[in-house]
Amino acid sequence: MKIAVLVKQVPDTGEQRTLDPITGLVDRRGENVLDEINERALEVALRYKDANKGTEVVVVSMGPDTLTKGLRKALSMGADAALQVLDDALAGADAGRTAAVLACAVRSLAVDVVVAGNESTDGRSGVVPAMVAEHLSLPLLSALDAVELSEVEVLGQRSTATGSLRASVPLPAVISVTERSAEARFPSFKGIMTAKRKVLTVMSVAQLGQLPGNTGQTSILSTLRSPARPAGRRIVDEGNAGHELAQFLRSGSLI
Amino acid sequence: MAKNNVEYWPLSDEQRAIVDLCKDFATNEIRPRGREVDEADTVPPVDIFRKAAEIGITDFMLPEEYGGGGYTDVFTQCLVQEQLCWGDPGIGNFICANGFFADPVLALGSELQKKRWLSSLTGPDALFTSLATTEPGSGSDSASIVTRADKVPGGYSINGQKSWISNAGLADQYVVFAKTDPSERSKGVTAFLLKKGTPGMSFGEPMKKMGQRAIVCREIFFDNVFVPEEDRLGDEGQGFYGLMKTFDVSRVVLAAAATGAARAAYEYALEYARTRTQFGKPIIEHQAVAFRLADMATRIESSWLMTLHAARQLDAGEDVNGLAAMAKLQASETAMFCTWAAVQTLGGWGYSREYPVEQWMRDVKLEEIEEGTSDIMRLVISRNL
Repeated sequence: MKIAVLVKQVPDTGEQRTLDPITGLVDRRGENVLDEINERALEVALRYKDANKGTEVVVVSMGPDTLTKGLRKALSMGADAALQVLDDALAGADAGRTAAVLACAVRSLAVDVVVAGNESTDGRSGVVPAMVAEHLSLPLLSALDAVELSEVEVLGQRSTATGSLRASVPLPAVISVTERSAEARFPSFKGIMTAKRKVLTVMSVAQLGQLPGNTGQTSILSTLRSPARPAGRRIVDEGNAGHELAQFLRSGSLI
Repeated sequence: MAKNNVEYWPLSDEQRAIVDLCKDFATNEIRPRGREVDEADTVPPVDIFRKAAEIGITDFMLPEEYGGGGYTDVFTQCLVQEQLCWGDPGIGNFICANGFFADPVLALGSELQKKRWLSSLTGPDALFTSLATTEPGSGSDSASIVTRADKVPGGYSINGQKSWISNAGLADQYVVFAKTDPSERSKGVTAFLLKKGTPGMSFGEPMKKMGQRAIVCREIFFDNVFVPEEDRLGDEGQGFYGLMKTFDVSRVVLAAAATGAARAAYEYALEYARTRTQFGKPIIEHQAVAFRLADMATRIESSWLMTLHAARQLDAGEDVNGLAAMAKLQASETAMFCTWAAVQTLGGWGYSREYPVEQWMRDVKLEEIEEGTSDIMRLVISRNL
C-alpha cells in the first residue's frame, strides 16, 4: 500500500494571524509550521503503516524553501519520503492551481490513497481535496471523523447536521479528515535523526509536466475587515435556563 | 528575549527540531499536569515519563551504542532541559533524571558495566534510576559521608543510611557512594551499582517537600547489603572523582532547567501585566511593574548565555568547574528572583493556587540548593579564581 498525505505550512495558530490589506493574502512572514490538520491526516496514514508492514507513506506539498522544516517534521514523525513542488511561478497560487499541481505530483507517485486535512487553518477554502480527486478521477470521502483503511477500500464516518454517515469507497481514493480523526503523534528523537537520511524530492512545475485543468487564477477585487462580533445572548436563569440553553444550541445545530 | 531568527549559537536543523519537539511536549503534556502533580504531593507522574520514553526524551542523552539517542553533548541537553522545565520544573527534571545516573557510570564504568546498566535505561520501557550521595549528616560536604562498604569475600558489605534520594523506591537501579576507607575523606569514597530488591536495602516514607513534587525523595537504609566486586564502579577511592565529574555536567544542565522555569514565570507575568488593568491602564504601563519585568528579562538573558557558554566549553573538553558553578548560581538565583517577581506581579492571584507561579516559586527554590547550594557555588567559583 502506498499512501500520499497532502501537507502545507501555515502561520502558527498560536500567533496573531493577519491578512495583507493590499493583496488580501495571508501574511506568512512570521514563523510557519506544519498545519495541525495535516499532522492528523499523517497520523491516519501512519497508524495504518504501523499495523501493516510494507506500507509506504509519502508527504506531498507545494511551497517555498522554508517548507523543508515542516516536511522534515513529517519525516521525523514517520513518513517515508517527501515530495515538494518548489517553483517561483507558484507564488500566490490559489486553491485551483494548488490542486492542479498537487494532483500532478500525486499522479507521479502512483498511490493507493490520498489523505488530506478537510481544510487548512489559513486559507480554509476546504476545496483542495475535492479538486485533487476530480483531477485524478478518483472518488472522494471528505470531512471524515473516523477512518478505517484496508487493502481494498476505505470506510469512513462523517458528521451530518442530525447524526453521522458511514460510507465506503474502493481504492484508489482521496479522503479528507477532520480534527476528530486522530491525535497526531510527537516526532521522536530517533525519528529526527533518521529524517535527515530520508528522501526529500524537490520538483519544479516544468518537471511535473502538463498541469490539468485551465490555468485561471483567482483575482482579489477588494478586501475588507470582518465586522466586530455582536455581543452574545445572555440567558438569565429564571428556572428555565437549561431549557433555553438547549433550545439555543439546537437552533444552531450545535447539539 | 532575542527574536527567533537570531540564535544564541547556531543550532543544527536537528537541534531546532528537538527544541520544537520538546516545546510541544512541554506545552501539551507537562504544563497541563503541573498543578495536579504538585497537589498529589508524593505521586511521581510515571505516565508522563512513559510517554516521554516513547519519543526518546528520557534517553536522548545516552550514547547510541547503548540504545540511547546519542545526543551526549551538554549543549543539546541544555536546549531540552530548558524547554521541559519551562513546562514544569519538577516534571521536567523528573523525566530526564536518568542522565544523573548515567553520568558517573559513563565516567567510571567498564564497557561491560555501561552496557549492562545503561542499555536498560533506553527505549520505551526505560527503568527508573537513582543516585545516592546525601546522608543525614552529610550534605554539601559530600566527602564526609559515613555509609561504609567493607570488603568481604567476593565483594563488599554496605551499611549506613542515605537521605533525600530522588526516585528512591521507584528506581530499579542505584549508584551508591560509600566509604571503602573511612579513615580518608574524598579518597575513601567508592561508587557501587545496586539493583532494587537487593537483600538488606530498604526505603523510608516519602519526604515532605516544598516543591518539585514530581520527584519523590526517600531515605535508603543499608543493612549488610552485599554488592559483588563486579558492581563496584571504578576503582576503590575513585568515587569522589566520579561525583565531581558528574557535578560539572549536572550543574550546567540544572542551570538550563532553572532558566526554563525563570522564562515560564517571566512569560506568565508579562502576559498578565499586559492584560490586567488597574488605575485605568494595563499594569505594565506602571513603571514599577515594567521595571521589574525588565529585570526579569535581563537576568534570564544573562543566565541563558552563561549556561550555553558553559555547555559549549564543557563539550569542547575545557575545565569548567568554576564556569559551571557560575552558570548554576546565576540561573538558579535568576529563577528564584523571576518566580518571586511573577508572584509579586500577579499580586493576590500570584499567591493563589489557581495560578502556577506560586508553585514555580516553591519548585525553583530547590535549584539554589541541589547539586551544591549557592553558598557552595560561590566557594567553587572562588577556588577557581
